[in-house]
Amino acid sequence: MFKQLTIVSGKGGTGKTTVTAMFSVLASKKGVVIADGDVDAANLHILLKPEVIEEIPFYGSKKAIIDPDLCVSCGLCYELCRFDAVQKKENGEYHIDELKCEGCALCYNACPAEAIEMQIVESGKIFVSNTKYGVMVHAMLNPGEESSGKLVSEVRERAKKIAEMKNAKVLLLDGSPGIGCPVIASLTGADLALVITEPTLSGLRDMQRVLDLTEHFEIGSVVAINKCDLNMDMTGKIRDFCSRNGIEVVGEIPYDPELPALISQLKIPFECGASEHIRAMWDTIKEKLDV
Amino acid sequence: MQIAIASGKGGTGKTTLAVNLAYFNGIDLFDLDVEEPNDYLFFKNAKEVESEVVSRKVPVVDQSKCDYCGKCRDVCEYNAIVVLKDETMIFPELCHSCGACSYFCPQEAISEVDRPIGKIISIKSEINLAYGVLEVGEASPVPLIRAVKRKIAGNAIIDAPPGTSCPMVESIRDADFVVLVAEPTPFSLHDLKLAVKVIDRLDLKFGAVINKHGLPFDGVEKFCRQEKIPVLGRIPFSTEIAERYSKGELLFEYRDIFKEIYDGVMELV
Repeated sequence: MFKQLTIVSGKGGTGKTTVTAMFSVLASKKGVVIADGDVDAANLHILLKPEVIEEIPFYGSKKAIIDPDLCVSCGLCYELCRFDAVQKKENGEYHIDELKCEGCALCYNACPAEAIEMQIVESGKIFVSNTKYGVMVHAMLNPGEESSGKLVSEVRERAKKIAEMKNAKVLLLDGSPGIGCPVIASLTGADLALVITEPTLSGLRDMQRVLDLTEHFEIGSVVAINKCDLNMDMTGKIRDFCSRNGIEVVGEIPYDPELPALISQLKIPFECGASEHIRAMWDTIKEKLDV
Repeated sequence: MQIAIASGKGGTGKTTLAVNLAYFNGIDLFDLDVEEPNDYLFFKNAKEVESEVVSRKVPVVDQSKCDYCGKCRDVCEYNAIVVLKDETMIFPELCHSCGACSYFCPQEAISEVDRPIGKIISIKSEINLAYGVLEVGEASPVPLIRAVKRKIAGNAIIDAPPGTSCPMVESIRDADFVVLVAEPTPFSLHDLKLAVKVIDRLDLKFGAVINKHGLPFDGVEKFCRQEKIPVLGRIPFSTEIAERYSKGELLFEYRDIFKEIYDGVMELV
């Protein structure tokens, strides 16, 4: 049976993807499946360089469409739509703004002229890929689309199936910033959440909010402080907050200019001083996950 | 005149740009990153002038009127309603508040109640700031983003959430101009390209600001040149700026950069 580690942060840009990539390498001996739960700004593939073996279209939503030949311009759909997706054109005809339509089908069910159809749209793609370290499941939501939570759930479920099939010990899931639906979907089923923060006021505040979320869903959490020497005072505040709330700080990673330099060469940044701290952190987490 | 600050990738400097651009040009600021609002951290002496709870409508069933016909379940696209032999159950966290169930219920057994999804806080210092705070556990930030947007009157700087999906789209769609903040890293370049696709789809005017200018990666600058995206300003990579940000301080020494960025936007609009 595998264990699921979800890596989140609240605030964006704290180092989730870099840490996930390094953990993927470190966990590869154990047998790892990697999933990217950031589907609208996915980055993990840039470092892991996956070779796509399967591409699956994602039909996440339906959109209403009005047939102008059948429409009698009664305006009922316009009145009923709560998402302002039905728009009245200058010539009195109605049409649907597809970026606003949430696919609720109220207009479709209510239209007296049966002039509205619900179309299933492809809103993204899921990829199953091979990497040097293990199978990776990732996705791309078409820019501007909705249903990112649903797509993350599909990525997670596929990754879980593969982890079971391959008898992997670890499922690593790289989350997205925030606390909304994609993050909730990334955390579902997690055995442990690693919250990566940075010693900034925003980092502290956003970490607190994402920890409220993991507590809400009763998921055990540990914290890592990236670029910890940027502001030691703030690092102290994060430590204090964690110790008051019984949350373990599993790693403090100092800022290392070599790290962004290696990333800009698309390398997983093992050849730098900061990487030792990330290795040590993985050892601690491995024990916690009991793998 | 609304200027939205967006990025695709998180942590590239949207907040830094939004708060400094608003402050040094004296424009009201609206933080639409309601999942993780941070702009207020930079206005420590501000006074809270208003706090209001934002709700959305969710259905409740009057079990005495319900005859368990299942129509509500059939019209719900989000699987938020389960009809049993002698009970109709609603799962409000799955509900999108579309109103279909109450509209179609033949028994008129469904009414709607307010479910709090967050709040809007308005504060006042040298500039006005309004920001949304999403309730923890609430899945969709979009209704709250819409509610904060309704507060906008006149000139505004909008701080958008990261990503390229519905919350980001809702935040920028009514803006007159979008400033995309990128940093010189391969991650940021990848997400910048996606953000540009969203903006093209919405047919909005936009430009870029490069944060942490000086990091060793030239892909972002190249991309902007190739695509003829105007670069409105560059914020240098500096530990001093990073420390300032970490304490929640404004960048007084760099005020000219933020004035130039604003002038650049005005020229393009």
